[in-house]
This record gives sequence, structure tokens and C-alpha cells, in this order.
Amino acid sequence: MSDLSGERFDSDVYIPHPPGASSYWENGAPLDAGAAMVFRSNLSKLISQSYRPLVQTIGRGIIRPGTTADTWSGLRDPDPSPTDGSTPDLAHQISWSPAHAAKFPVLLLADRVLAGVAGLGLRRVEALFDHAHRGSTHHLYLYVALTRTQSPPDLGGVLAIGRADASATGGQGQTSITLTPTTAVDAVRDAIDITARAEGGDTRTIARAISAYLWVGWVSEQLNPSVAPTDFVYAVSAWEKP
Amino acid sequence: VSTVPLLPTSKPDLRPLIVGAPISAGGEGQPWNGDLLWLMGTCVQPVANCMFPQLSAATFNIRVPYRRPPWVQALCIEVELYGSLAAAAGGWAEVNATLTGSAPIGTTDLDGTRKSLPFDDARIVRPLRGIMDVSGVTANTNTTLTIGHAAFTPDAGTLPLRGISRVSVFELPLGSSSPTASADDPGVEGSWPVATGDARNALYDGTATGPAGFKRFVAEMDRARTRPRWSQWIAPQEDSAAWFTDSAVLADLDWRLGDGSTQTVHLYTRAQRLYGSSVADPHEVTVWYKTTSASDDGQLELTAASGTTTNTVTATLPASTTWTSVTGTLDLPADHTEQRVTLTARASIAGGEELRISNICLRAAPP
Repeated sequence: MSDLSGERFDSDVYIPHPPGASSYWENGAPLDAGAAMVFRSNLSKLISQSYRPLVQTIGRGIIRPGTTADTWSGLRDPDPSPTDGSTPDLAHQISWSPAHAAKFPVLLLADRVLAGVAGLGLRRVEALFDHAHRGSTHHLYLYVALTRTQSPPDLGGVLAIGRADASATGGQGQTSITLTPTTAVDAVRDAIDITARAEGGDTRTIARAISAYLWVGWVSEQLNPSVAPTDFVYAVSAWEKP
Repeated sequence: VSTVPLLPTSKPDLRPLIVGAPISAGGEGQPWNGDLLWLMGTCVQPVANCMFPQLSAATFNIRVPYRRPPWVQALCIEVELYGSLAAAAGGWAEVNATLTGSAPIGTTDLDGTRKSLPFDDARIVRPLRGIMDVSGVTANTNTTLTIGHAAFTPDAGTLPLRGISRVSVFELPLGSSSPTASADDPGVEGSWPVATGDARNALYDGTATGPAGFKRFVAEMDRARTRPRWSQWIAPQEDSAAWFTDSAVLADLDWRLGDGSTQTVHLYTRAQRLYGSSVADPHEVTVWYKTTSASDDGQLELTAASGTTTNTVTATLPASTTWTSVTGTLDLPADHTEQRVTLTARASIAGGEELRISNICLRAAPP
């Protein structure tokens, strides 16, 4: 549910009503409170169901095996190199290059109440991968990130990032990653200007929107480049999540 | 004129309303208007967000089915090209976007002129971007946005990846709305509701098509409820890139995923649950396809599974050796947790021919 959707009747359904042009709505009379309750409940229902599909795509297909000679086209990104044996943070574990990631533009909505934080949070986003992983000696990791700009997550501007180990499924499987942005977003001050409509010639009106990119990424720890590909991403879907 | 809010405004509580009494125009009408403007003007819909396998053809089209709600004024289109080893040697591509009745707002990258290819495997690829004024596109009618990759020069003599790696299309929000200036704009006129001469400031009826009155509210609730929502999977209309089957019986498609065989690929989306978990979310389905045969029809079976409900529809795809489309219906079950729906597809064609499919497009069509 949208945190801002409000109260609804117990039935929690959109209550059917005559169309606006119907003669049912008597001419010349004010609206009564009973009908207004239906209006209120229905608007709340529409807001509560306003979660949108964001990304639906086939692919990427083969996940290229990594090679020890080219750490930036394969496995864990060595930037920064974890010389102390630590694990890089999620944004720095893969290169986010086109072979290992894809980005999609999205306009986000901030209508989620954050516990203990003033302001509102962005809607949660769930990404679901359909994939294959064959082999028991290596890992397949999947990533999802939201960034404010089109720069890769390791260059900053990360709103949320998540990773899942898809190795346990064996063969074809499905893996879900849910992002829960924790930063309060001011829907007004954190929005950018975006063209809303043409007004003739070069004139246009603008609207405000929270523009972002949704990144999906993957990495196979199958190191041997002579082995036939073992890992695949068949499809990726993402949507806003209550 | 109303400013379109960035948040729902009312968060209403039903209890203060006393059944039988007239409703205050200011107390109810303004928050309702804000919520309608938010639903239609801020909570705008993505139309397509798809990436594509590596391509080899220099010329192909990508089709994006679209149906414009009357109040949507502008679409943003982003196209990303594959990087190329030829980029430094002057490699270029020509990409255009066409939608009948539309025109670019300002300059656009998608005008068919030469655009430099990005470097191979570059991490920061600037997408080609265009914003289209779609106010002249016939509303409430199925149309097709075509993105064309018309030419390509790799110059350097290498064999680069080439073509379009991603297409994104999304509706743009409205900054303001004026139903007085255009009945297509959402909500009610911002200067209303004020019931002149009524001491109680009661909310009066007006008309469904005029800019004010509670009849307009009712009509706007219906427009917000029935607006299109999109789930679409797209492949380029190129013979070596489109999904295909040559099976004489219904079988999984070859999705061009390089896995050496066909797979049951699971396509996920989310149904809207307006009428409880037992009432499905009806969708219109558009499929673009071609056949290698001029006489053998293809078949496509789509299955939507959710919770304990599975709905299947099978459509005949009449033989066509040029890309064409058919439209049908599919009900998405809404009984799964968070209304998740899993779609699967199987297809067939007789006579050892090939059926190639480039689009599976679902558009919500609520009753």
C-alpha cells in the first residue's frame, strides 16, 4: 500500500459507480456525504494500487566468463583492491560495464513513510531475475542498484543497492532482490526539471520529477575461459513494491 | 490552472463524513482534485524498458505499441547503442523515432542523423534521447512507435557489436493542468469548487465533460482507473535477433540467449487488484511477428500464472512474410502475494517453417 493512500471501506475494493455522465447523478443537487465516502475510498484504492512495472526485458543471455588477465571485463572489480582481505562494498564488486550490467531510466515516486526519519522515502523496488547457473564450484551473483545519475554505482549517487547469490538454485532458477531506499527524499527539492509539454515553437512547460536509473548487474565466478558458458540471465523484470 | 502535486494530498479518513449531509466544496473537492492530478499527472507510466542481445544487421526496426491517454502530452525516448571498437575511427549509426501525430520538442538525438558510436565496453554511455510532443497522437487508439536503426558504418574494419542495446520509453509528468483550456487535462479546474451563492459551500454537480462539478470528479476517477499500464517485452525486428520457433507443436521459443537450446523463460509482471483477489486484471495483448511461409499460420500460447490461478490464451498468427501484429486479450490473475504474475510463452508453426516474434505487449484494460 502507498503510505499516503488513506482509509478505505473494509471491503477494500474499488466500488463501482455510475459514469459521470449518468442521469443517476441528479442535476442541481449537492453531493451527499454517503457518495463522498465512496469517492474517498475509491481514490484511496487507486492510490494504493498505483505501483508500476518499471523494467521488463529478455536477456542478457550469456554471462561472459571472467579472465584473470582482464579483471574489468569479468569478475570482482578490484577497485578498490581489497589488499587487506576485506570484501569491497556492493557498488565496487563489479565493473558495471555493458557486458556485466544494464541501466534503465525511471521516474521515481516518494510516498513511503520512513521509520524514525523526517521526510518520505522512495518506493521500494523489486527486481526478479530468471537465470541459469550450472556448476557447483563457482558462484553467480546478481546485483540491482538505483542511482541518481547515469554514472555507474561505484561512481556515487547510489540510492539503494542489493545483491543476491543465485548459485544455490542449480540449473534454471529465479532470484528476487528488493531495494528499500532509506534516504529521505524531498519530492520537491530533490526533483529535477523535466519537459512536460510543448507550448509552440521552442517554448515548453516543465514539471518536476525524481529522475533515476535502475541498474541490473551480474557476475559469474566461472574463471576458466575455456569452459563453455555456464551462467545465463534469461530475463529481468522490476516493479515498484508496496 | 492547478499545479500537479508530487504527493497524494488527502490521505482521507472516512469517519468525519456524516451520511445525509451535503459535502463541502473546499474540504473535499480540493484534496480529491489533488489526488486525481497525482494519479494521472505525476504517477506516469513507463511504456517500455528493454535491452537487446548483440545484433549484426545494419538496418532494422524496433516497434513499441502505445495507446495515449488523452492527458499525456509528452514521451521521453532513450536509445543506447552498442559500443564499438570503431568508435575512435569515426563509427556512426543513424537512429530515428517516429510516431504518427508526434513531433520532437526541441532538439532530438533521434532524428536519423549520424550519431557517433560509443567506445566498446565503455561504462558511461550517453544515451540518445528525444522528447516527443504526443498531443497530436490520436488518443485512446492503438498506435506504434517505431525506432529505426537505418544505417551503420564501422569504418575500422573490425567486427564490432552493432545496433541498439537498449530502448526506454516513458510518459512524462504534467506540471500543471487546466481542464478549462482543454477537457483532456486531468482533474477539475483549479479555481473550482466554489458553489456561488451557497452558504454551505456545497459541492455541486456540474457536468461530466465540463471543467468543474462532482460529475467531472466521477468521470475523472474512471479515467484514472482505466488508464493503460504497460508490460512489454521487445526484440528487434531482424531475422537473426527476433525470437523464433520452427516446431510443429507448441514449444518454448528460442529467445536468442546463446544457451544452445530453447528455454521456458519466465516473464514477470504485477497485476492490479481493484476488486479483490478473485477478480482478474484484464489486459490487451499485442504480438508482432512474421512467418517464413506465406501460407502456414503460426500459433502462440500465453500463460499467466499467479497464486492458484492460471489463465491461458492461444492465438492464431496468420501467415505473413512481413512483420505484422495481432491483438487479443489475456486476464492476469491477481491472487498471488503482491499480485506477482508469471508469464510463459509457447509457439508453433507447421511445415518446417519459422515463426519469428518481436513483441509481446500487455496493456491493462480495466473494465
